[in-house]
Amino acid sequence: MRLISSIVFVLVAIVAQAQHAAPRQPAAPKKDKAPVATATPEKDTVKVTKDPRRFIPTGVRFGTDGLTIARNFYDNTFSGWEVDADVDFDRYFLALEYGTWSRSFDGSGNVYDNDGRYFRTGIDVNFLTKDPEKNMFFFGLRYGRATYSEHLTVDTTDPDFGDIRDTYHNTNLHGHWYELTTGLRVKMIGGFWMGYTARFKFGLKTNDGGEMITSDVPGFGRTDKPSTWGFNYVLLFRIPLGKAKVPTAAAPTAEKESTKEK
Amino acid sequence: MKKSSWFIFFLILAVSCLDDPDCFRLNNNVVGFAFRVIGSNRADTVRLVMVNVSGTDNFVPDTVTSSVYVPINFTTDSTNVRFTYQDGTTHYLDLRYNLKTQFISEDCGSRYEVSDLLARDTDIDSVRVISSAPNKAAGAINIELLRCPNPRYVGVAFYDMSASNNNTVAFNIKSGSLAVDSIIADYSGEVLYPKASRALFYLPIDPYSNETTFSFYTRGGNPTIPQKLRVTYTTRPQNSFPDLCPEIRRVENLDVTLVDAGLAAADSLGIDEDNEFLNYLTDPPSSNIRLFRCPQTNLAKLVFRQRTATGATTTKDDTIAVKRITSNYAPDRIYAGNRDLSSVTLPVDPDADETIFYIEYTNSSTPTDTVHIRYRRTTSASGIRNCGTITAYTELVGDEGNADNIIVAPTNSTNSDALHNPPTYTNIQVIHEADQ
Repeated sequence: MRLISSIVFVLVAIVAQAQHAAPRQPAAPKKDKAPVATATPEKDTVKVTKDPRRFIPTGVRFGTDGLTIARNFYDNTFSGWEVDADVDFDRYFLALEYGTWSRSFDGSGNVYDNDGRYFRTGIDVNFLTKDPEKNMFFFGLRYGRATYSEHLTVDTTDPDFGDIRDTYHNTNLHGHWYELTTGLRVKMIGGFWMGYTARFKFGLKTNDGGEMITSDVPGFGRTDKPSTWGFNYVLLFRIPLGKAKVPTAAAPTAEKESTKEK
Repeated sequence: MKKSSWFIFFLILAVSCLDDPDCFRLNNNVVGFAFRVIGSNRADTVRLVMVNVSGTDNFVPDTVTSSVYVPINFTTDSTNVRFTYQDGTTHYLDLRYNLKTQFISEDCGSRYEVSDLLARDTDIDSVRVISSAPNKAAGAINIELLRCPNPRYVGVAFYDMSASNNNTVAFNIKSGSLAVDSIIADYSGEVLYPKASRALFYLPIDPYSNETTFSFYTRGGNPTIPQKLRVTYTTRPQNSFPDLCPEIRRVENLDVTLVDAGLAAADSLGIDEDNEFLNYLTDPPSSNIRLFRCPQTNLAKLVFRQRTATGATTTKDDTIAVKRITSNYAPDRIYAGNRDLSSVTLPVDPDADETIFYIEYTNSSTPTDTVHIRYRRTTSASGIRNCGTITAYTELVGDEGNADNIIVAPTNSTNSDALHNPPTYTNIQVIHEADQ
């Protein structure tokens, strides 16, 4: 699994770097708009210098995970919510996710519950750089960290060792992990966006030195396997930062044209 | 449409990743014990009759074993394990470990993880923890239970010689078992290996003498005149592990001074891993003495069959309780007694051209079967050291006076009209009626 994770990471990194490093060619001049510009080939080639201002954020998206909200209704063992935000730096998006998570199980003579908070932060890289509406198809990385406590009551009978009745506590626990993410963000109406994020979570480490082994880490999930998958369906509102539209590498002349229109 | 396809694809991906935990064998509380001897890297074989684990019922393992797997108590952080051996001795071991609990699911409940296993107290000579994490099932060894060496068993292995088919070797040898009613050591009178059949016997010598004689009462042999094996040796005190073990008497310079012809035609000492003669005793014991027997060519194979239905001509394998089988030429010998048999190997009279066997059954309502067979004997040089001539038994036929249920040299069995060594082909069939 570690090897697969490394391969995926390297592939994603290579693809991202290739996309980023590829020299951008100016759009071919249209005959009806610039017939004079084609007089000599040398003058027709325009060297595009990337404007460093393209890294100035153009907007912040805030929202929540709809699946987490919905899970409160269809999964009676779960309670929690998650808010998501990201801000763009050209094709890179700084993502921050924060949530609460508590679970409660009662079965087979066992009562288990945990409660905690978590956050995830990381970078998403957009691969739809030429989309005029700035819809996103992205790959990204996350670092997740959770603070939680858990409690277990056992009242059962073992065929060899008889009745087992005990209560276990683990408090002030921490866990951290990493994620590879991919997903979409699609502009719906106005500033309303929707999208999803699929997560491959791995590398979980916890500090459970007490009498229990962590069963469920907020934000990560079950711990009985070294890696797991997650899925979010996010509902976002985008708040533009400033009125001027900052040029991007994908559309170096956009600012100029936009200014002219205004 | 394109966006919808992407959404559906990832939704299916997400749902397909959901699975439930496995409830099978959640606790890793099975501890594997291996029995060993200090100073040896070979497994020790013990005869266990009981293992007691604190907090649960008694556990009965395989009686003769070199390892045992025991579930320890995961409701506490310590377990007392007591081993009871066949000779009545007991040993205990107190184990201590860390215990953690993990909730798995509503269906599975919780599991207990045992770790950091250590031996806290014991009366065993030495204990070594080689893996401090117990297992979910039997298979891996966690703890070695080591006892002090006390080499006093001589290993006696039996081999059958047979004529060679090529010129590179004078004869072939292969391991062959010997069936005995008992073996008795002269110094103790202890009955060893009652009604056993082995290729290798471990026999205790007298450590306070320079020789021990073993009397073999072979199955089918004369019950009053045993076949004898006498070994001689020297002993000296030795203590290789003074901090752990008491002084022992090392037995060496082992030799065979007497072996009756009924046991072997030739003997030799075994070879150790350094290609040296095993003329010393080891613990665990080794195969010190090899006894080579001349090929026994007068063995006939008799099988019991049963009709598939009353009056039917077809038959099937049968297992029947036999009270005893005797012969006309050695009436004192009982070839098989009080056993359930589906087949039996019987020695024909080597000094006559016919033999009669009498088969009595445990069920008194089943009449005694009389098997009268005739054969032709041909004698030739064996070509095997110490074996002289060898006799071939061919043209096997049944006497006309045999009952209809006795079929000698059955035509539906190949090579049935001659005796073979080993007796792999069916020479005689005894057919009984179908069960009512």
